[in-house]
Amino acid sequence: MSSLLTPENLVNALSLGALYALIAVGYTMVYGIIKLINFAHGEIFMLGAFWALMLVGAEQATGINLFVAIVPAMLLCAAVGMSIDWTAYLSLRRRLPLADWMSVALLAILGLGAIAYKLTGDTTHTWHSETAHGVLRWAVIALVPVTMLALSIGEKGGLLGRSLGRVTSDRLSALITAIGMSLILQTLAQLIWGADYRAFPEDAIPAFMNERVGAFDVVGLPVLGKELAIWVTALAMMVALNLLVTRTKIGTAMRACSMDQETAALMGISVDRVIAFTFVVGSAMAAVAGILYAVKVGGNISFRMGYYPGLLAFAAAVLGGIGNVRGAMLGGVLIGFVQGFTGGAFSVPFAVMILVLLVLPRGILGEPQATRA
Amino acid sequence: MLVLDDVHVHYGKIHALKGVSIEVREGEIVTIIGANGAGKSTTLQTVSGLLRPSSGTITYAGQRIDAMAPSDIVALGLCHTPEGRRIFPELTVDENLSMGAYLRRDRAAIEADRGRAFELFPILAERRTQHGGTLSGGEQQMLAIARSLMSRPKLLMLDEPSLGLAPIIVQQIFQTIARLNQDEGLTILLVEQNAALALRTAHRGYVYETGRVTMEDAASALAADEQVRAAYLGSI
Ligand SMILES: Nc1ncnc2c1ncn2[C@@H]1O[C@H](COP(=O)(O)OP(=O)(O)OP(=O)(O)O)[C@@H](O)[C@H]1O
Ligand SMILES: [Mg+2]
Repeated sequence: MSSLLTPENLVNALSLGALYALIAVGYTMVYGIIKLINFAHGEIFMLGAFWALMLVGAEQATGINLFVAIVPAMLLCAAVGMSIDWTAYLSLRRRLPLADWMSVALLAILGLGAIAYKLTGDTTHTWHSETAHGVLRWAVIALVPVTMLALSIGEKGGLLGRSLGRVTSDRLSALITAIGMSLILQTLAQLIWGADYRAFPEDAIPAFMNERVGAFDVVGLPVLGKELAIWVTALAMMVALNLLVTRTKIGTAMRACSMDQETAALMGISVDRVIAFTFVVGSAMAAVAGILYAVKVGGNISFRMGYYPGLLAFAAAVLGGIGNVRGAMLGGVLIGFVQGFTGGAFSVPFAVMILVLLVLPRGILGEPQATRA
Repeated sequence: MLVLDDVHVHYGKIHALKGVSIEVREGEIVTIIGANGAGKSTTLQTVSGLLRPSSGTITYAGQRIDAMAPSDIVALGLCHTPEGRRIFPELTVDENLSMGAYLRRDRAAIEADRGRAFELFPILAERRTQHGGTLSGGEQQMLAIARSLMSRPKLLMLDEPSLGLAPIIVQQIFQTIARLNQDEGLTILLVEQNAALALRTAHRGYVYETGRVTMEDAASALAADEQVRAAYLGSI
């Protein structure tokens, strides 16, 4: 084990932690207000990297500067995040008949995507090409539309929904919609950009990003420019987010909405707009994480790149106490450390999360059950 | 100022309001009294846009508001202090007050109103940085009223401000309500279980029974009415 405690691993752990924290705050903020795990959040991370790739020029750095590209990529992801809320979740929240049509439309897209996936999916180096995974994935793809149909067609969630009772069906159809959204965005990304792993063109990445930062050599840490860029960016965004949530009017409104939406509405707060704003902020941060992640690992931009980081960031949000922004930051760093010091294992962070939850069921910074009358 | 005309409200299959018509005129304190489940809170929630009437109209200052969003209704100067106070428990007293002023942009005036709220309820000034959830019931009710006043309402709807409070605090709160009406001309629609107190404070009153208005009169006349006395004032 002691061989894992290397300076390289420390640097890697810090960077992973910073990236997971950037993603985790998006999960936790959305959960805090609408009590929904937005499983499509990992796909926003993926889209951030793809938008940036398109903006800098896919093959060669013919487009805009990578640093400049971050801003439009953030805006695009913010727009996608908001659209997910407006198309899929808002109609569910309001129990609009639109929810039914949405699920039909989503189904159609999913079906088309599945066909395209079958036709274009490369079979050389992807995890799903192995038979067991392939079967599992097809099972999921087949199950999601069936379940979505059963749950959401008709008033108040069709057959299954009614038999499960209203509250259950609301929560459950939202959850399944979220998973469906995630799969749909993945399939769409594959339709648009194909199944190959891509990387930012080499000349799009400034040289200093891959050079050692001399200042850290003194303390014996092999820090590349890109690692430092990740730390500084993540730290700045965390400080900014913290200020936003605790000091501004819209941030206070976000907290108010997470406590009592009805009363928030009586104060004149447009709850749906606050929720949209939450998606915007979380998505923009995930976009930055996606771009930095692709820079860090030197590629790996693909339609499935959001899967593991998204899952680990979700674990981070739960570990820190879901709904708690600072908890998500802390959880992200912890998960990053666990993964970094175990040589990049994916399973160990989850084991740690489960162990911590056994002791602290609401996560590290999760509040005990509300004591309000 | 506020007119409800033949308003029906359903919760799914439950018919909670069965054709309610009431009116609040400018400068009045109007009270709605009635037994548990009569539909008093439902009325206020429908006026403030949390619920939609299945039929009937609601007019405020000559404008139909029955299809408006709650935030637009607040912007018109109609504020609803909900039953059970509903303080944001993990926001400080100051932040709770700021949320009351959510739609306003006039910073200086907001701060002036905050100062006025502290004059009205000095105890809140001492609790400024404390979380709302840590306040006593009486303090929470004061904060709930102060928070509503931060929106500078022209019409304030109060839902059971006496709920679960000690008599002395109830006294204090009702004195404040009367003062806001007399000194500042604030129009008030007051829902109360404590009918005696409500009828002493209000100018006019409506009596609800299972989703219908069964009586309407000057508050003093209702307080003197045999039936009202028997049913709501605990005396014959
Ligand atoms: N969310 C709801 N879902 C279903 N029925 C409801 C709901 N809220 C209220 N009701 C029903 O509507 C009727 C009117 O309720 P409402 O809360 O308006 O009464 P109220 O006069 O305010 O009573 P109280 O004095 O107890 O506060 C009651 O029969 C109640 O059971
Ligand atoms: Mg009530």
